[in-house]
Amino acid sequence: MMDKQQNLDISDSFLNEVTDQIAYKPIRAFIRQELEEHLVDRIEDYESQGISSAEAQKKAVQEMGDAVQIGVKLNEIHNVQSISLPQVIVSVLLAIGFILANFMQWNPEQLANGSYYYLVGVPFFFFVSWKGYPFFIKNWKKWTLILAIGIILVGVASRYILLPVGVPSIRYCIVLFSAALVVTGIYFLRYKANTLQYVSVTLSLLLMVVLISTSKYVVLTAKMIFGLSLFGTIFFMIYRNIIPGKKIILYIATTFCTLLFGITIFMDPDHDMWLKTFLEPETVVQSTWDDAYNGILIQELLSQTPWIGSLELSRDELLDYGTGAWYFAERDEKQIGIIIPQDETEEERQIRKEHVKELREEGVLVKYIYESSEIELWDILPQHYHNNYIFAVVMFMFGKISGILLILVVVGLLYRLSLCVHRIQGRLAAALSFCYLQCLVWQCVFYILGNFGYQYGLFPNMPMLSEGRISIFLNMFMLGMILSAYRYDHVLEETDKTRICSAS
Amino acid sequence: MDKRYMALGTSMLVLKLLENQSMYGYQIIKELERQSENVFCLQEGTLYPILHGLEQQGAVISVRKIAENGRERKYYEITPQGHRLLQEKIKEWNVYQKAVDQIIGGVLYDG
Repeated sequence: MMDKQQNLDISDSFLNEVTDQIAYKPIRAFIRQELEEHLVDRIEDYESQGISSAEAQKKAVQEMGDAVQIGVKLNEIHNVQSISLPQVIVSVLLAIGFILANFMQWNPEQLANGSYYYLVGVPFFFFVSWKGYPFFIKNWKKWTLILAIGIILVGVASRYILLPVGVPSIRYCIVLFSAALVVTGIYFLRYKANTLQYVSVTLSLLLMVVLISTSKYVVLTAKMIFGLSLFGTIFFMIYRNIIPGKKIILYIATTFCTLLFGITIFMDPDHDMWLKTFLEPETVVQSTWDDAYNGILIQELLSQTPWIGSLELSRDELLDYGTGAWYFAERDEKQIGIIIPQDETEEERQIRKEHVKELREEGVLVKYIYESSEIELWDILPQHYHNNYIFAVVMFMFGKISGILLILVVVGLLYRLSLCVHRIQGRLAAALSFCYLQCLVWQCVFYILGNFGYQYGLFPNMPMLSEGRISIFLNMFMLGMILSAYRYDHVLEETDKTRICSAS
Repeated sequence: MDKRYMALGTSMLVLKLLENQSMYGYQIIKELERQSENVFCLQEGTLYPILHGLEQQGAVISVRKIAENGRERKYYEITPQGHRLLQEKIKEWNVYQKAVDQIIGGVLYDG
């Protein structure tokens, strides 16, 4: 009895010595369990050879080797990885975004809103990047269920209640975040289904996707980003063997689903108009208020912008662009905005009011330009949408090089994030991070295209840079989760009990 | 033996064993002993830093399964990346082995 206790102490002391070398405490239990299982197998083996229990335990520990050396080597492998560089880049971009959000708002209320979301969003990003993934993975099924129910409830609420944070913004976030939820669902089902069942499950999910995507309450750009992110991630999961089964069948099934999803996008009644706005804006432009006109104006101004230095325009040119006269003079004069003189007399004001009344009766949405001695570039940019043209505005104000440099900083960050995702070995961590990265990348792509005059669908938000209200939280969450999954990838074990099955 | 080649040799042998079937740590040790007729007798604990390192390189993945003895064990499976790594290690090993053979078997010097 005494001997047995002594030997148990020997095993314990060996295991303690190994795990004491591991700096990240939560991983110690997993390492201890694996080594303990090894010791148990070795002891049983010795005992089956007729060696006494006490001797078997002593020999088993001796066979393991030097505990400190093993622990030190394991600690070198299981380290928490640094995310300081991407955190610094994100912080710099957020600071630029915060300044621009304050600089570009067109009324004080919007200015305040933008600031509030940034002030909460920034600490939220740091919290998620430091603690997010370990917190999620501890009970990922429960969190996924809670998030799914939460999304459905907020979705329903946004349909019937006018929420203060902005309904379109909420729906945009819900659609984008749904991609990650579907990915988690597929991950959960991956060993519960054979290939045929997987295809059926995917088709059912697709049906849900189609229902979302055909809803008139969801913006086209969000649907597009959702589809690209979701199906891109499924391809990634097949490539990485995260989804088991015959790859060729899985690829064909996913391609089929992607095409079906693409068809629902192209069948959207608004799609034809958006495609023309994207490729041939002049065929759909009707007034200076159209997004298609914004695209044409941006392209025109960019063609005159120097590489270094601001875009210089004469007062007459500024007024021409401001009213849209440069474009509509030869097309539809009624669409040209009205210049309100600085010293407008009462008589002139009455004449103008009559004229505007007539135009409104003809269905023209009148645009005003208030003439003053200080009319500047700022006054002629697409009104109400400054926040959508951050890169374009930076190019107009400081030269093309400045805008391109800012884009390169964003591209650099996305590249750094893609390296992180590439290195993540945890299966769920890799799948979710890839999905979040896709959501971020496609938002950037559509936003940047719009800033060069090629707008597809409604403007998405530019992660970190454009004031997107609640979408700031979504983008901070996605950025934080990618960095957090990478940070803890070497020290977290995916305790995936769904895959326990008999070894053959 | 040079430590680098020792480590290279061990991880190559581990990957080679996993090429045929997924295994847990103790099973790998036993299989190494059996197939090498007790020539390769590792200090058993040193296998785990190798396995965990391979897992982080994406060369193997681990899953918990029920073993033949009815107990749950952590099994390691080779991945496509692991297959590629194995081929690289075999090539590197062949270079090393050729160099050793040349020295043991005698080297021809010009002039």
